[in-house]
Amino acid sequence: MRKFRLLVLILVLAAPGWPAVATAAEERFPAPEFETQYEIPTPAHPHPRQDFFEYLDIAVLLAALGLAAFFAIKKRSRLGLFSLTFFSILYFGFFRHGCICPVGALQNVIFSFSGDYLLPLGVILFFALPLLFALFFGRVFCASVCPLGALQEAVIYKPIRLPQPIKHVLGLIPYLYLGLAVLFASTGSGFVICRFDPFVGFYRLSATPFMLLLGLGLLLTGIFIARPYCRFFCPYGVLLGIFSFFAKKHLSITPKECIHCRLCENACPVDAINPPSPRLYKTSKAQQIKHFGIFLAFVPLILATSGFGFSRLTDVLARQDRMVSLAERIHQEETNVATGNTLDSDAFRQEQTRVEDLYRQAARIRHKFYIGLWVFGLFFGLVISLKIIVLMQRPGRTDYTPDRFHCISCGRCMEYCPVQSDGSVTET
Amino acid sequence: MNTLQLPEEKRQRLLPFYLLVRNLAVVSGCFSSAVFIILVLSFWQFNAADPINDPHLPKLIEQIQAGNNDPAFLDSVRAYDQLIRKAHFTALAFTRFGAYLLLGGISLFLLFLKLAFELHRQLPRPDKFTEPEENQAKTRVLQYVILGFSFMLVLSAFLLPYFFSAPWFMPAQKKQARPVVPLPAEATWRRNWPAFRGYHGLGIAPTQNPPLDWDANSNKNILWKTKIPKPGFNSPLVWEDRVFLSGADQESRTVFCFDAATGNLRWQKSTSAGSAITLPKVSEDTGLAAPTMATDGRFVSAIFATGELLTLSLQGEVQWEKKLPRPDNHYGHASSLITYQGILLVQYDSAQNAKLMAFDLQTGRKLWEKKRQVEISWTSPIIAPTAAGDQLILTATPLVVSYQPGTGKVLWQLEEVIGGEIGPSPAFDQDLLFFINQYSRLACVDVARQQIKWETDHNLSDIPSPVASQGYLIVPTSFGKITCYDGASGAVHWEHRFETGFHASPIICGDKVYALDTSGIMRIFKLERTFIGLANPRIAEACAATPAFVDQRIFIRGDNHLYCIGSRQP
Amino acid sequence: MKKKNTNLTRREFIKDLFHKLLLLLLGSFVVSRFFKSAAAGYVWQIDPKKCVKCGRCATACVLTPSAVKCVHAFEICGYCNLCFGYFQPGALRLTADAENQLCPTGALQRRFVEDPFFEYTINEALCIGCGKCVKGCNLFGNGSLYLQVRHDRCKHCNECSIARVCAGRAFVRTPARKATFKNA
Repeated sequence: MRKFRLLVLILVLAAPGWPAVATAAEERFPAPEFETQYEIPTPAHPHPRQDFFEYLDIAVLLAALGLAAFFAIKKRSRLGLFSLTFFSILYFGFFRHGCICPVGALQNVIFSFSGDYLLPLGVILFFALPLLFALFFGRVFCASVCPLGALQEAVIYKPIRLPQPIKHVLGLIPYLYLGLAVLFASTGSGFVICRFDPFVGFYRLSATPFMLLLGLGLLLTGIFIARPYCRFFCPYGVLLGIFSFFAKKHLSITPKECIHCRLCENACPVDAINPPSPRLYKTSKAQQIKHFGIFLAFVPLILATSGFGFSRLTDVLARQDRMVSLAERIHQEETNVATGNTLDSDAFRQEQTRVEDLYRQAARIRHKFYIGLWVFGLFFGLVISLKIIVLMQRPGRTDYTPDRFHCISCGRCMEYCPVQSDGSVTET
Repeated sequence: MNTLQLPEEKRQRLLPFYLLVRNLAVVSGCFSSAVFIILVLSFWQFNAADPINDPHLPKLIEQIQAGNNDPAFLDSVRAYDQLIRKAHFTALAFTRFGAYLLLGGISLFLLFLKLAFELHRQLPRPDKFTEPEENQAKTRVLQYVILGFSFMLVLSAFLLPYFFSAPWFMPAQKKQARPVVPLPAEATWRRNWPAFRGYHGLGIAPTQNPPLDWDANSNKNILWKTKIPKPGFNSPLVWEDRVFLSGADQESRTVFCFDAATGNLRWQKSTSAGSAITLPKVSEDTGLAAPTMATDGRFVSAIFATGELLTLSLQGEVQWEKKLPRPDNHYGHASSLITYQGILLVQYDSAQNAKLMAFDLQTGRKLWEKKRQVEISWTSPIIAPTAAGDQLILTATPLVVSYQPGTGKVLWQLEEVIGGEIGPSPAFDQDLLFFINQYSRLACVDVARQQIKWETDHNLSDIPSPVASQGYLIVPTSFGKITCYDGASGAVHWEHRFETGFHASPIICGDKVYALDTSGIMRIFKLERTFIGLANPRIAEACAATPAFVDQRIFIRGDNHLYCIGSRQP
Repeated sequence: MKKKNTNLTRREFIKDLFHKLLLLLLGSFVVSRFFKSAAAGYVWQIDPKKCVKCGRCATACVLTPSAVKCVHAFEICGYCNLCFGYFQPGALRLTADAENQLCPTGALQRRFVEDPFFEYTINEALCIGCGKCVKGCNLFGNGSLYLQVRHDRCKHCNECSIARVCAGRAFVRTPARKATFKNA
């Protein structure tokens, strides 16, 4: 089996790459026979980055994650985390130019399940390592390794607390974004996360005006609403949140017993500190269970509505696929709905592919979108159902604790806690 | 521990530093803003200096090409060209420099701002902790907000398509009920070669006197010879003026149609999957295109070892196409297709889910499907015209089954009668059915009584199929021996050993038998009680496919070429 | 109080269960993908056979100037005096004067070798990847000029912004190890 896999690997690796100079060359003029000593030069073919750098990136990522976990949990050092943030901006941002980052790697992973695309080792690890660390130490990746987060981390000055309803509604966007990214990656239509990456342009020192403005806008917003991209857009954050929720260890606000001094109450820039929950409830346990049961009965309805609603977007979204829009354009040209040819339709006609094959391919992609949108809808329905169910819970918290899903382990709260690791309390 | 929480007097002491840092932050902030504004302004200028799309230059060059070669004018054009190039690259360098400057400025600004904040930070002074109370209304509001927002979202997703009313196209599949194409008359059927081993797969040629003599070297009696574009071991079909066969490789699985009169390729059509399909593992002797196609005179069908089933009109338009589950078959799927009154019958004896399927040839609708409790087989179905009506006979370890060809109803079956990996198809004559396999047996079944009448285990065949007519049974073998039996009693009339073996099945033409051996020699002998060899003409090519006999002509598929043999009319 | 304790442990148990489940999921993902992984990463590459010289390389790249440049395969060049990649269509004289040059930035440079041959080289610092010369050379000449992604400049974006709009859909993700081109 192993041998067979190797063989497949070799075959796949050998498949692309064109023989020699694959220009559409046609010898209209014969090669000259020089009488002088002229030697035909060889054009330079610059190599891409050395493999060494791929491994270096992985090593640096691993080291940075390890350090972040160390600073957040063992050393409890905000300064350490903050310094690491700067390092990440420099290395993952300005040196490595952001690509491929773990956030975008999510799409490569999805894409590799649906096509002939083989995941490079670096991408596998860039996707999996932050999740692995989240599963053991919480979102230390977000704290100071992610180049997108690091940039926003540097501009948090006057974080305000958003009203709860707004926070919850905006908090739904990452799920939608995640669903959309998975949908586009699995249909092979593109990598939306990368297309709308607001910060990578800063690292490259080159971006389209629109993305530049988006990035600047997010950074300006980030002065008051801390880490807007991480909290209200980042699709990878959803996964990290889930993994972090079931983490073995997690950053804690206080090194010992919480003394309910309330100093940390407003310390969290991303509003991820859960205050103690009420000890007494007016509604009885039986009543709570009854409410819960009633809601559960409605869940299938929520799922079905959401699935059906989103599946209606098939045509709108499928049109974002290049082959589908090309097929539509060609169809319009063939039926004289549109006049004139575009560069793309001209290029298609040069290929001598049959129009029917294009239509069939487009229909296949559209069908993928249809199925994908149903799954998307069901997923979204499930997310809101779970959100409601979580709100129904009675958590039984007695102390101020980090909200493991949303906490990005930045460590600010630790500074506010007057409790020392030996249990003594600093007076202020 | 809490290094950044400053007591009041320390804060006072650090006040000058704070003021300094604050001022520095203001200065760097102003600087960055200025650079930013300049960059934004220069963005327009940058776009104006675009050497690719400069609006004036082409006009100026046009003037020069029209003959304006005034030196002063030429100089001005060159200077202008130089100017826009220079402007472009200067603007580029400027932007780059500005970006670095801005980056530096913002970094400093952020740094100073951070420091200023840290130096001026005050600890919060919270009230005493009080026991939290349940706030039911607040939780409920949250729940409603989430549900409400989600509902609005889903609702807008639902309504959005109404605002994007551009019509979506679907691939041109008009679902109008097509008029049923009538089946050709029985006489037309009988004079053509619609399946493997001809009409009903019985191996009896519709013609009495095909040529006895030909030669590839001198082109004697070779009417035409055409290269076959893709390899395959399936036999040619002939319907009126067309010859069909299929070929396959990694790139595509293709049906070829040749002109029966000239040998020209009329059309070819491949399955839609092309190279985007995972090929099954097949042996070299079987290949991807072993099954012979079948036609009912209206449409022609081909199946491949990939499980692709393609039905075309005789003009080569795709009628319908199906991807059957990939056959689990270690040599490659080889059972040929057969048609019966507009129904396409597919023997699909895969390792898992062996079945017999029937499709409407015109529409591709599956009419019925019968599960078969058999092992993998490489035999092909025949339709036996018994006294009790037509019966579809399939052999596969361990069963011989007779189906009603229209409905798939099992008429009778013999269990545990045959074993091994079966290749040869059965033969039928005068209500007697003969089936055979190497290492198993040759047996004769009385179809009326469904009993084995006689059997033997000598000279059994593994690849070529037996043929029976006029009371004789001819059994070829891949090692070159041919045996002639008395069909009713099983008595051996004669045995003859040829130097080369047979893969193609022998065909009976009137009182003669034509058996094509693997080297391309046609062994022609009399259908008699004694062996009387008539001729041994040859083509210079290895042959594995059974030839087709139509209208005094023979169509032979060699490994690379298709030959049409017939006497040249003056 | 006792009841609360059991409640807590049940929660802990479920949490631990999910922890292990996620670990298993992540582990099996990494292991299964590991055996199918491509050792080196991918780079973007233009298939010159599919390139239709639409000119979008010059404008769509995230970099200015683009990471795509014109490359010259000298070995199939005819070293013509009248180079269709170098001269404006309808150029009156075959001189290097601005009005005769096709290249908008003067990146394609011409040097006399011997009668009647001229060598054409590309100054990559000036080339903006517009493909005008490539179009000319492919239409009337040997097609020795072609557009290609220069890997030292390319940022290897996960989604190439030129690939997204490439009219001929000529951009291909190619394993980095394969992507070292040599001329035949």
